[in-house]
Amino acid sequence: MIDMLALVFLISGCFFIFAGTMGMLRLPDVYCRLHALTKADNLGLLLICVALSLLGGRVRVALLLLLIWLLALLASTVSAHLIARHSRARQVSEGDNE
Amino acid sequence: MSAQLVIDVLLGLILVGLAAQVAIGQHLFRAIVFYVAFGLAMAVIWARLGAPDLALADAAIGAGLTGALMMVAFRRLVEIDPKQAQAQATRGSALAVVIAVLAAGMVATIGLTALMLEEQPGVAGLQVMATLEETGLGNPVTGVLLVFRGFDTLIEMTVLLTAFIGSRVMTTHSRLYVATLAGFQLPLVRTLVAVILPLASMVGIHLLWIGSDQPGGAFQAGSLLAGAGVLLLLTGTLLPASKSRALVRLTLVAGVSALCVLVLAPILRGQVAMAYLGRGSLLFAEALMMISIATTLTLLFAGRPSLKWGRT
Repeated sequence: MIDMLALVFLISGCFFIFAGTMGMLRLPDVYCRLHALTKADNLGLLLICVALSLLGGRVRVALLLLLIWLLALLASTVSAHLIARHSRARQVSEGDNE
Repeated sequence: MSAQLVIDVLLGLILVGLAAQVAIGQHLFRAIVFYVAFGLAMAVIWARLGAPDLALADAAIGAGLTGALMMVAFRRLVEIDPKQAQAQATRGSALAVVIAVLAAGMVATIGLTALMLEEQPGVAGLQVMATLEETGLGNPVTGVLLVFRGFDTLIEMTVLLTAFIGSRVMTTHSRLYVATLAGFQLPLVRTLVAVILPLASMVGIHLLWIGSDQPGGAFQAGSLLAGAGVLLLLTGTLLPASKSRALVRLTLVAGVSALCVLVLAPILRGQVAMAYLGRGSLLFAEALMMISIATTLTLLFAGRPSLKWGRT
């Protein structure tokens, strides 16, 4: 029962990460790509972490996985923000030059 | 074909593909990005081969710090010689193909020979596992690094020190670009530093502490702390300084000195050189090695002989 539940979480997690990667490859500009990557991938990572906690079956493992997810969330938030900010700043300065 | 084998073959193919992208990549920056991905794939493969020590080291050094060092080197190249930095790679020469074929043949031969060999009794690995209990260590990797092959580790630390001195000799006269993140003063970035820094220090010291019994040790801990140092440099909390300081020099040589003490101390006690002194001595040496590794890698990223506190 728990295995089946974990499988469902794992597959849906993979789906979101796949969708995020597709977005990264297919979407037209930096902002759309960041949007796809940060949102979809973090959700996918959460689902995979949930699946692994279910399989791990211990509270300690679950808490560590939660910590990993929170760190990944923090890192991707900040880096996405910085990339978007940099890209915006460059657009503005290029706009001035024209 | 079992699912396990499919995953292994897939991982192997990914690794080779990434390596090819690094070697024949059209653009220098692209090659660096692929190298980081290669390091991560390598870490996953080490973990699958049941070598968590190497996986940790490869993720921290191979993917993380080497990536950061190459990125900052690329950024400096952009400052020094923009044309060379943006240049498209030239077409591969015929010699490269020959070398690649020879290298592939060599790897295949070694791999096939290793597969055909029967397991030999009394090889070094088995002897290590048999005598590990006497040392009181739980982690065979730490045992090999510091007890059975301690001399190699001493040389490794010396190589790191020599590499740093070499980089200092090369860069004394050029004004290097100082990598600082645009927007380091943003509240979001400050929060990241405030969360990551204590966590990184804690995990680093934890890795050092458990290193004698579980995966971890001075190299992993040191590179993790160096990662925190790079973050501090990027956010302007630490700044590169031109004037060398006694404390910084001391931390640079601490690791090599500690290992030298470990080699020579048994003589004072009437034993042969490099005799095993117990777990406490290893923890002492590993702690100093961690500090040396962290300082050396951070200073390599900074490109200056010393560090100072910056804006907070």
